[in-house]
Amino acid sequence: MPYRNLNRRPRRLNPEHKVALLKHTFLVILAVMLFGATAAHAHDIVVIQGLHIKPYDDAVRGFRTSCDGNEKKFLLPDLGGADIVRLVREERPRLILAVGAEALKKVRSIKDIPIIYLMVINPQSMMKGHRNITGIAMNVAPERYLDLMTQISPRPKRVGVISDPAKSGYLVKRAQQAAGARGIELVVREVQTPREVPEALTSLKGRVDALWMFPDPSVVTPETVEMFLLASEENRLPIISFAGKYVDIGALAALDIDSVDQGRQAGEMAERILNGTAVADLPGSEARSTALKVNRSVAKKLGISLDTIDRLNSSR
Amino acid sequence: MTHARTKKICSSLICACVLFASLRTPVFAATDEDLQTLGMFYEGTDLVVSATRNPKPISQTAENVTVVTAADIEMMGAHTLVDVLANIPGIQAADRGGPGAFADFTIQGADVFNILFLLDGVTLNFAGDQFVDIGAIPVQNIERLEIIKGPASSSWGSALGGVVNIITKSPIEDKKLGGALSFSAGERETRDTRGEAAGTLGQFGYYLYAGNLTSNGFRPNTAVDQNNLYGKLRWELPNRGSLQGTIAYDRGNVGDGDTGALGFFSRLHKQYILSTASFTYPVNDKIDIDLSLRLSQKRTDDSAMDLSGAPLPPDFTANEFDTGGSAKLVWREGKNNLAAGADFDHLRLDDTGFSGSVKLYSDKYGLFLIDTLSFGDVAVTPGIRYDRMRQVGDFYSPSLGVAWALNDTTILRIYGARGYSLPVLADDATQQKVLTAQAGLETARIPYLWLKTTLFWNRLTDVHSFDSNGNATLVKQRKQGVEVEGRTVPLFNTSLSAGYTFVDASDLSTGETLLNVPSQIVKLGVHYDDKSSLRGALLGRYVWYNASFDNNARDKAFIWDLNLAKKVVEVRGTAFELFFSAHNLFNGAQYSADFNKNVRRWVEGGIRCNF
Repeated sequence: MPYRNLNRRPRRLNPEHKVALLKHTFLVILAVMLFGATAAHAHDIVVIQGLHIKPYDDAVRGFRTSCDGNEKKFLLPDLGGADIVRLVREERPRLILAVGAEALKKVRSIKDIPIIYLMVINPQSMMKGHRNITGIAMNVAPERYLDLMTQISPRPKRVGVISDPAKSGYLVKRAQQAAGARGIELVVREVQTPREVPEALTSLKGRVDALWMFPDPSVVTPETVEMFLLASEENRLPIISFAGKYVDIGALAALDIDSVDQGRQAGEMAERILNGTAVADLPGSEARSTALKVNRSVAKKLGISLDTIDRLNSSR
Repeated sequence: MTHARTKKICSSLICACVLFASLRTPVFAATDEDLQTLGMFYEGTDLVVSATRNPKPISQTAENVTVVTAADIEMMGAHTLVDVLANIPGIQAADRGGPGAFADFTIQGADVFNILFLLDGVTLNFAGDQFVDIGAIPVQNIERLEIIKGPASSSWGSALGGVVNIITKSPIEDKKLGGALSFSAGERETRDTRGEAAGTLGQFGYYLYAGNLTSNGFRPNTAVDQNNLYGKLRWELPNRGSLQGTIAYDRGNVGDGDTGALGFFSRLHKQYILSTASFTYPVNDKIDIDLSLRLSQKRTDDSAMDLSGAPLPPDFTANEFDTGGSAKLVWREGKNNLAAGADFDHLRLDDTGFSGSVKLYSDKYGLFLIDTLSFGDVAVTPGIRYDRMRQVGDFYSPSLGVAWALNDTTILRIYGARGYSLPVLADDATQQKVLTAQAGLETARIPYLWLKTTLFWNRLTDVHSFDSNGNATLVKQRKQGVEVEGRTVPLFNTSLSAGYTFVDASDLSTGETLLNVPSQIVKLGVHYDDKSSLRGALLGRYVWYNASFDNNARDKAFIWDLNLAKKVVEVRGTAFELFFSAHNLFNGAQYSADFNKNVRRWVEGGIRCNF
């Protein structure tokens, strides 16, 4: 080795005179540790929030209104490359709240502390084999959308859906099961990237009388939304979407979710876990509070009477 | 270094800080997974990201810790660990001839012999002299580096100057198969080929890596050819806990640099095998148990030849075996987090050198107790470690740290400790010892700017000093200084970073300044990432070596590296990326001695496929 010098033989100094003092130091530190062990209390909840961003802040605000547990919050951007699992474990919480998919990914390897997710659209993909995880998915039950469609006149019988099985397949499957009972047939086109969306839309032409947009990042991008709207206009197909922002630009209707109420739901779940309910007894849930948003001019253009729309609004 | 130059550097840093602080434009984040999801639901005006403290060191520790992630490493265009460490504030690291060559390395004035390098908990330093060849450590399989600057003996034992803890990548949890392939080519027939695969099949997870680095070298006698293999298997036990095994195999050869003036050239043939087996078991929500075993063999054979190419006997061989294990228990009760554990190692040295053979064995064990007590916003961390080694006897390393969260954006740190290192394993060896005191402040109080400052004072005793005849004496030294780091949040996908470290090193017996201890280190960076296809970094570093006059050092130029990566196509989850690096972009000269000149400008490019 270039630095080796095996002939170095420095004389040895005897450090014994310092050892006694250090042994006393050791005992003092041990005493402080044991005192601390009995004197201190942990936080009930560690909140890992993926971003310092308004929807997440709102969700955490809602969580706090329904959960009294004391909490410590970490923002992922603050943590740099820190070992999140280690950091969380050192806080010794009774519960972890993961806000956003990134936060859930960071903590899901913890299997001995209950984890509640919030603001995650596809939690199932991250929960395989994790019995300590539950939470509120960032979507509305498909049955509620189907109920909405049954109230539209003329009622759509064949509804087109474009989905990436890996991202929204579980929701589409549920929707297909529930649609039959309502006399609606879903015509599903599977894609894996946004580039496949135009072809999928073309293949639905003439085969469906409405389009249903699911929250799926492989399908919904600013570019593909334009294509959905174009297909709607050209083929006189009403679009049922998952967010009010699309109603503003040409979709017929959407059930907007309320992030504050989603947080509130998660808080209620957390309270039950802190009071002793097992996570296994609290299956994952979805947004319970929604706001129906409709576009009257689109309805008029598509021949959907305003009376029907008003009846829908008043019933919500 | 003249006062004028110091003033110039300080002025530049102040200007940079003022520039960063003057940024007030709202920051619109780009598309990571969460933002992509939120972007489907909300209008852009709801998605303004606020500036926050960034980054926070591990566990609000009181020590001066820097964490480097795999993503950071990728953006540095790094071939080996040298390329990563060279960009960290407070660290001087420079290879002596291109990728894979031997390298110089210091942390805040402490040399490589006093810094502990760990890979999966296995010590990489040679026990014989504590040397570690950081030019031989691949980086593709690194998930995270945790760098502790300053003594860390209460946790790790012999670590007077700091710790570089390498944490390797883990199996990908939600995929059966994922990974990356990459190939790069550059001047002097430099080739770097890497492949990694990872995934989880039921309860089993795996991570595999293979790499080859070859180069004709950019300085005389620095050609390199190294092969690296790494594997990790993990089994999640049915109820709780996990079993894990790792193995790292590195084999290759590298020239020992330009020693022509001494009448010979030597080449080193290296073979390292490191393996671990570990068991992690959470007994309940308060107690975790970690047990691990480790086995390593590190062998280096040195063959030398004269200037005509004729072999020069005898060869030099360093051959070391380490068999050891660790046990750790973590107990959480209230706000108390107690870690207690033990390390054991049986070391065997079987070296042959120019002055005959050296055969030694040693058993060393350590017991440690570290606690973290949280009192509201204050975390107090007392710790102590007891080490015993056959050749050198006992050593106690106590420490006490305080991390105080003054508000949501500011943390005050105070740390004091006693530590040691064992530079030479020999029958009559002795430890170098250190007393350290550190204080620091980390804040994001200034909008869009994260700042961290650390003052450090180290008093070293029993430092081995060699006179011109090679006779050793034990001296006392002091190394003290200040470190400042800053980083902006991204603005139009661009962020800036800067670091400045000043080290005042002196011999306490004579009062003289210690030469050849890097005295001022400056790091600058401009980082770009549009989060979709284009990433880049322009990284600059400057070191004032404070070298002896007869070294003929050159320390007037900044060394700048430019790294760019562009994703060109993504098909069904497989992304192809082209990357390019220009090293020493402005062809600057910066070296500690004229026999150890830095590599001049060279370029390389390659392709990477992530699947």
